[in-house]
Amino acid sequence: MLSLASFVVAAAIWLPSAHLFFAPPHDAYRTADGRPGPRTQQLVDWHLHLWADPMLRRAEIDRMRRSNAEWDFMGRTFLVMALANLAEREPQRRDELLGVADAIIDETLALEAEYGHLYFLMPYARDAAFLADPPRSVFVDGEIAMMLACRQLIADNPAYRQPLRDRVAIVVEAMSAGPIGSAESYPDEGWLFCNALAAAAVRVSDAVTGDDHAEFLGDWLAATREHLTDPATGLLVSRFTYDGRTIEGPEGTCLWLAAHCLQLIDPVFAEQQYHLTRDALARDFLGFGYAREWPTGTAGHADVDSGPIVPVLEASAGSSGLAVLGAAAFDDERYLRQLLTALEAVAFPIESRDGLRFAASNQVGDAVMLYALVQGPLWQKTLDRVGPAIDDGDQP
Amino acid sequence: MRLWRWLNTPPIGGLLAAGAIWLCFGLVTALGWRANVSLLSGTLPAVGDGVFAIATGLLYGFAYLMAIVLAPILAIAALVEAVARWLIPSRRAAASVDPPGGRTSEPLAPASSRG
Repeated sequence: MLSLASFVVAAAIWLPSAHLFFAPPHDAYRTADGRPGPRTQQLVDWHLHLWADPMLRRAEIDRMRRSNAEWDFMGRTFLVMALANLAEREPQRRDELLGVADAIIDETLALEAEYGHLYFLMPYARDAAFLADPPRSVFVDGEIAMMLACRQLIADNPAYRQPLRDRVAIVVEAMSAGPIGSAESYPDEGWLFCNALAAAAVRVSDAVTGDDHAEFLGDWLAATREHLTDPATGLLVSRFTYDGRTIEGPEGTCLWLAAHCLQLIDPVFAEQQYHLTRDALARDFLGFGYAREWPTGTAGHADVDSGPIVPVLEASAGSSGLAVLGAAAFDDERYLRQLLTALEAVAFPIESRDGLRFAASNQVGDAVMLYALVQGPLWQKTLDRVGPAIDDGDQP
Repeated sequence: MRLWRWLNTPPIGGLLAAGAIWLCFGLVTALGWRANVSLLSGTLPAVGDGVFAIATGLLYGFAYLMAIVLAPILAIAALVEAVARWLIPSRRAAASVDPPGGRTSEPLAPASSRG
């Protein structure tokens, strides 16, 4: 009896305090003034090492492509975005970092040219025809536009001037032609993730080229709010048909990133979406932060986006990873710290002389994490130059 | 028999159990099986990576869970129980001293019943 009571007392002592042993030091990932901490620097080192070693990179990419070709592509996008932010923050490393970014962009464009526009999509993209003409995926065009725009915002590379203009023109044309102002990612299938990222890419491009797509972006957001708002939660839905019928409701893996992208379109609405998402999906278990993929009471099924779902807690690996981006972008320090504590505990960090990576993650997961921890300068530079597309900061 | 009694004396047994778990965890870490946890990230096609890698990834995950959840609780529980056993006989001994109103009716527990 005494042994059992002792066990219960011990559990009551250990379980609520275990997080203290995993909580990273305050400046480990991000310093108080937003600069990358030593752990983030180790993450940078790992990615630079990965891109400097063709064999290792090939193995990692092959491994991801076996699961999902999209990860190969998104890993490139988030890494280029991260490198551009770092280059803006650390001018003394600009040439080195932009050199890697250029290598990624060049290889991505070469692969698209060699294997076709659908190379970075999952196989079912070939099972049906895109409804739009020309048949293109805003997932691919939007993220390539984002890579080019971010790179050009830091320093001009003449070789990318025209590709950026061309890609943004394609994105704007495709989204404008859509019945609800959004373009397809897959045949008759649009994603908030892709359209929000494409919209943000257009705004970053505006800051580079001096063009002004504020009206287009305002129209896109108005249509998105009208057609893609979930009435039960007020959150934007994740997946929809070309004509705007909801296929899947709100999902964490879309919403955290969408809220971040919306900061360039309509900061007030972005803030609203972040807080709604946080209320619906953010959770804390014994000091470890995580995120659900779907709001409580909403049916969903685990897929390549959500990652494995932890039973009972309903914690989603994908949503939790992108929640780090949301928390960092909206300066939600408490939740960010809880998420980083969980990252240290259950993402299995592996440190070596080559840098830091997470065993439970992969290159795209690590790239999202890196971008989350270094983002800020690019968005700020865009807002400083052209402001948000919709400036309703005075509205309640 | 004497060894068994010694192992059952708090906090020896609990601390040894926790130590054994941490030792196993240290072993699987030293073997580099932590890297194989990546195979457990849900949708990865683990089959292509080989049964050994999958098994070691699973084993590492299990050992890690035991090391961060069960072992600390066992160790703390052992210490809590040792302190409790040290305190309870003292209290009983104190209570067994004749109070002003007469003797307490509760005898000290025999030493052999404490294990």
